Amino acid sequence: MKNCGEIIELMSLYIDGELDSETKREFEEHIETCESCRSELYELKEIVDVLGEVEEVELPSGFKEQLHEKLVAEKKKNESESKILSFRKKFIGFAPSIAAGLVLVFVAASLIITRGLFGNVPSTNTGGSMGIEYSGMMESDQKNNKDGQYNGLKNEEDSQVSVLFNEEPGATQSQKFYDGAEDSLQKEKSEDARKIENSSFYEITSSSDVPASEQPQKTYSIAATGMTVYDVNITVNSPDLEKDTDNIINIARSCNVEIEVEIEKSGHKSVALSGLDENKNTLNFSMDAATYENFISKLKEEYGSKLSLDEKTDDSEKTKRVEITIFKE
Amino acid sequence: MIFLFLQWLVLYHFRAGGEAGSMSSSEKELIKRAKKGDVEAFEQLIEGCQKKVFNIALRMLGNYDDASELAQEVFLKAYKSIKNFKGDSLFNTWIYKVTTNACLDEIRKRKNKKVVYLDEDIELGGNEIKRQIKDDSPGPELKAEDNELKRAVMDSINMLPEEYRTVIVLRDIQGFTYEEIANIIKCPEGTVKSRINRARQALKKILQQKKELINEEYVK
Repeated sequence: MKNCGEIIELMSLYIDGELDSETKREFEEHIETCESCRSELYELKEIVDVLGEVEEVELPSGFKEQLHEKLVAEKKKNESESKILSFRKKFIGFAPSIAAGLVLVFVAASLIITRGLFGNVPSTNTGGSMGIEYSGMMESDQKNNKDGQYNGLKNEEDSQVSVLFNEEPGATQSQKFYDGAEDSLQKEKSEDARKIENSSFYEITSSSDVPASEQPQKTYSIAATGMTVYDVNITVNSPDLEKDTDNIINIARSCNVEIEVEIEKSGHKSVALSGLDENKNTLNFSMDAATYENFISKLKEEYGSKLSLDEKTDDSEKTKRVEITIFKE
Repeated sequence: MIFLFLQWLVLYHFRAGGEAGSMSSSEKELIKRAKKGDVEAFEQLIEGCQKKVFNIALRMLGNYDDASELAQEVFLKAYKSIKNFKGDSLFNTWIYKVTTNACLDEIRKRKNKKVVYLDEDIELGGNEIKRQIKDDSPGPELKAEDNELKRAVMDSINMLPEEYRTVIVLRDIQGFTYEEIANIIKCPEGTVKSRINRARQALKKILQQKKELINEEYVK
């Protein structure tokens, strides 16, 4: 036999017809004999009945039209974004091949310096022609053309040496950025895709500028100092997680985040909405210094005292990592 | 005999499929298109649940205009994040989940801001009085609730803690099953069962207090 407390626990299930036949029989037995439980059940049932009678309210007039406009506007916004991104994707897509070319040239040039003087090793031929074709075109190749088509071994060596000097700063430069990326690869798993892209981006900037410029030094300094890019790692910690995550992405968008390789639309695994923790999202952005300042001030405006900033500068000189935590209570 | 068995088999699987809530192929197709940004496909997807989303918001927030705005937000958000919809639940369940979360966010936000509505009762020394401001747009939801008890129950819903309010709205007003509610609010069914019971008891208590208040008024 069940006591009143147990019966009250079962009341809603009884009303909703969720009790198994055995429990239902016990329940009804109790109700028949216990008046207070009976009136309790009656009152509860009355409330449930009233709630069940509440009629559905029609959608406000113009609801669908209004929504349609918003959806279309959102779609347009996305399309323009993905165009920019696909352009960048293409651009970035060249990075590995160019980088590979650079490495080949570098290796070939080194081989020539060390061994080439003593004899023509087969591999130097390919390396040599590539070097000339790639960046020697502008300066040394023209010289060669005057003298004849790649005739003397000495001439070829000259041009290759010049190639070496042209390429060396570029190679180290990209190496530096790449090292930075490798470092953080170990630290932040979710960031790696973007970081590598980021570094590739730099390789392109430096390498593609080489052939065009007469003075390589200038080119590299632009790549190195002109764009200080911060990697902003945001940990969103908030009970309104979904909303705040969206919000932060929107704030970033409103700041015209320059290299938005990571925004969801890119299809790269970069908005690392790592679902590890239910109440934590991680977002990764890259933005230059000015945009970053703007972004932070907007964040502060939005969240005020709920915002907790923890900025960390990475070991690599040009890359900075910033962790932002948002508490909301 | 064999024929009957086959018929039973077919019927059984057909029903089982329906009960498990497997997605129809056309819905899958629409989701696929919507994920690519197809607005029309998305609108077809939400056609069946728009009214319900609005009504959930209306009962959770207790305000017509806020509910309308929130429902719009819900669908826009769903459109933006449909890529994240993995299909492990029904599309509608997912939408209702987004809806209840958005409502709870809104309710929590209000708690901090203390929004006062013109048509809301104000409390003075324990007694509630009507705000003396003419309300030009009573909102269609009020028309249906001229019945006194109904009105009292609806008012009491807004006084419930939000987790109770959620299950009352979903179960008693919207008529979702225990299983559906468990999926929407991401809770085990056992929790849903006890929460619904406690929510109804709490609602009953609020109503009783209201009744006592009204009786006192009459006595004076």
